[in-house]
Amino acid sequence: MRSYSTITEAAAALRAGQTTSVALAREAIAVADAHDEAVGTFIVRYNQQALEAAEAADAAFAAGVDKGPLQGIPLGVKDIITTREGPSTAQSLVLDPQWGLDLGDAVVVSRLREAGALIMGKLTTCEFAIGMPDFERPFPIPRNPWNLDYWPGGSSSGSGSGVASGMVLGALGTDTGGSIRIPASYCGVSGLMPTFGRVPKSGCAPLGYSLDHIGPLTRTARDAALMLSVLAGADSSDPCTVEVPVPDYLTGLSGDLSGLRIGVQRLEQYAGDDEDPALARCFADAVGALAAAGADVVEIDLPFYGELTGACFLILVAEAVAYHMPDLQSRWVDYAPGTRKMLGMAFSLSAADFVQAQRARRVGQRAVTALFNDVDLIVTPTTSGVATRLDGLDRVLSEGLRSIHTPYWDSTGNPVISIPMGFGTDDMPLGLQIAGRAFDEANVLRAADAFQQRSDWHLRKPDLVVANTLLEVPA
Amino acid sequence: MTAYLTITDAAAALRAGETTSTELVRAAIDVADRCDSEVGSFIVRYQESSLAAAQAADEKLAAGDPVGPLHGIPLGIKDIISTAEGTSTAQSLVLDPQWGIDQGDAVVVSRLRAAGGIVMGKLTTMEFACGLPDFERPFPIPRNPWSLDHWAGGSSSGSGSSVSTGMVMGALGTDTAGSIRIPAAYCGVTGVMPTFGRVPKSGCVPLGYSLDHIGPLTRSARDGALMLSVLAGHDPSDACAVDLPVPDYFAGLTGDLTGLRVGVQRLEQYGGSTEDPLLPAAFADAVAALAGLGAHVVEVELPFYQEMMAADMVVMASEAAAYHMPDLQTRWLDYAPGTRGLMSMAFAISAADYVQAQRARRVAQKAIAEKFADVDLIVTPTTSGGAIAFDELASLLAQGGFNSIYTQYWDCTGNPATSLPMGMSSTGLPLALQIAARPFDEVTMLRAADAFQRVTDWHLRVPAISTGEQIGAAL
Repeated sequence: MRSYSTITEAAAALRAGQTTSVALAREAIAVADAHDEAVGTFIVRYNQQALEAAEAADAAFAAGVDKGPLQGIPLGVKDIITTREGPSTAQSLVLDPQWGLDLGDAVVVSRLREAGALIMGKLTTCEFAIGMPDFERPFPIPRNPWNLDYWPGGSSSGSGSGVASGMVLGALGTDTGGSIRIPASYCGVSGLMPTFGRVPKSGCAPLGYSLDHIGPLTRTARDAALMLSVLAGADSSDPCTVEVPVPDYLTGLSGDLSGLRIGVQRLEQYAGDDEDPALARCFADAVGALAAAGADVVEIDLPFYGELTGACFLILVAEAVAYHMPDLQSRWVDYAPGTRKMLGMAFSLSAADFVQAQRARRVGQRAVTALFNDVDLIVTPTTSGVATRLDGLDRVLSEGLRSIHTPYWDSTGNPVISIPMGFGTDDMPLGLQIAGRAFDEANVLRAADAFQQRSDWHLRKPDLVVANTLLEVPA
Repeated sequence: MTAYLTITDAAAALRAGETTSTELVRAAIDVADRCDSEVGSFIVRYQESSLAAAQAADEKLAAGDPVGPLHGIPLGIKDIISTAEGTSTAQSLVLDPQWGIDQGDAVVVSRLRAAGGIVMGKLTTMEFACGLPDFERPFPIPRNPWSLDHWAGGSSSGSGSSVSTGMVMGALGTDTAGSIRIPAAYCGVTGVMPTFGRVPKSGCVPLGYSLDHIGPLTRSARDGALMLSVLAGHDPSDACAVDLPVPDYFAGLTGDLTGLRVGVQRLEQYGGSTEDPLLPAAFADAVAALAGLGAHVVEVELPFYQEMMAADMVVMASEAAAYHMPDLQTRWLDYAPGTRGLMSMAFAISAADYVQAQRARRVAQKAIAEKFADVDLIVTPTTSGGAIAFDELASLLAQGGFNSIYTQYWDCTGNPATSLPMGMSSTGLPLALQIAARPFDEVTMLRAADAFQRVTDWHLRVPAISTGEQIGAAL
């Protein structure tokens, strides 16, 4: 069996007649059959519908119809985004199943489907993208395919583990405080948070509506560019989307970073002793690779780091509670304890606190815009440490957030990607974070792709995936 | 009192050589000398600089140099908007005098000045545009020129009373809950609140930044169009300003309303017992006049009226408290009791309440946009009766008595709305008509207001106090 790690490879093989969409779907199903129970990637699988879509994709190829690189590619969708196959749960007992049924395909899902992609199923998350893994609830526990004792990160947990383990070639996640980039970093895949307003988010259960972003998780930056090309563009159903033309995200992927100025900061002063012993070396090597690709590297200092990180959490929980208030008042115990604890933080926040946080965001946005006058990209670690052990998650909520460097960019709304840059404690992945100017995903992807042309961290696979080649896939 | 009631007439006379700017400014100074101490329009008057500006304006005219549309016209500025002549107080002991000095001319003021307008002085308001008239503080009491026992309305109190009496020919006000339209209604002048984002508000002390609008108060709608054509347009210094072309606001002033669909609602179910006995007839007559001009009149119902009344207060109080928090914590007693009362409300509002109020605004904006699919304009009374007497003001507010005021709705939705005189109350005070339009369709709104003023003369009535003749008669 020949398996394809990336959308780019699979798309080429489909067009070269070396594989079929049905074969790709069957392989994805076989991988999920083998590992999903242990890894906890899927909430629901849509094997039958996916195989039918694969047959349709193959028939289209046979008829000479080519809708682009996602045609016939197996993808997954985080279960807070609606698809027409069935209800969405948001991994919660609270969400009305009728909601997802009434909405049918979210705008992003219908864009993927129109491009010919296969929806393999709905992927695990944290309850409403904010809770914590909960062993008492009737939902899968998302585990890290690199080591099942570890959390894959959240809240797009299944999106990270699904791509890392090969159950899908790409997935949709959402990012409000880091929920695309944290699982991408912890699972060793690439995760892109586009600029706020770049991708419509209607049909997605909101967490913090002024912070929510939908974006792709894939093996490579090039695959992310492929998915973003399909996902990007305003839609009238989401008033947050912005009418900015969608550029060609692929033409810039030259591998050459000559002329780009990159600001770097390791952020160790925030992580303190939570920084992984291997992080400093991995980060220095990654920065060295970017310089070798032609970039001019300068040290920078992210302005208002603490303020923007704090503002993100404050706004996230306040907006979440406004959305959940009726259910919190009538169905408190149906929410998982982790969710109650997170949302409960909002009850001590005043309206003036919220307004002040939004004002701080504006000040921070201006300061980071000014910084982007001097540099084209800003590079930091995604997290200073590797994934948390599932039995150590309590600490994440209390002090573990200091090693997570993602909320800053949700507050500013700039586009940012996390890509693998090495391994730390217990051979768990570490992620590099690359941020760009608003709506300049092209340069973010260009740098990420150039790094991946010079490294192979993104192609490393966990042992259970290496074993995938031994799986029986029905012909 | 000048021989010219409107900017339009004075501008024509200036160009015809029938008057001079110096004459116009001296006449305005005479009115202020005669009645400002009673009416309380000015916080500070800039006689010397305005006379110097008038002389320069006359020299420019004499030399045949090109001049702007407001050339040589005496104007006044609400004292929460900064001007180069001196400091701004916001009618408060708290505002740092250095703030206004550092700002110099606000964008709107420099636009008026560039168009030839002459700044006669700074006009009274309520403390920070949200307090109440306070007899214990070292600031003038803004009285109603039609009856000195009555309030001029607020918070653009001096803007309304100075235009009404002729101390200026036009004035800048601001509107967060009705602060342009209420004094326009109570003082019998025309006030225009432009669409949110139409006029930049940098250089203005914020009250509720997602609700604040700057706009003109003038004698006529045509004068309002004249000032708006100078004020409108994007400026990068105000993040809320929208970059849309500024249309010709005069082209539509045809006096003909044929083809326009006008939705009307008297709102008596909300005004209740506050409705003046003469208001129903005055409103019916005004609607009939619009129909007589060719408009097709239909009954409408403003969607989410009460929700928007509440949302306006919640959002305004919260945003104001966020801005004022450091001073509230250190200088509580320097704020006037009325201001403290409003700010205190904010302490009981949670972050989630605020978010919910903003979400409610979004819902109502959608609903009113649907209404505007069926009608071009929506017409209501501005207030249910004439100006409130000073001795009733405190008790009315204590009872939550904003029932008589119908302005807040349009601040929440951000649509443009104008108030213009439509009759007299049972106690001889002005009554007013409110006309609202689609976002950025000030053209149609001004067309209707101007057409109404071509067939009525309510806007040309002048209070007795402003004419020397009547003062003489009283003596």
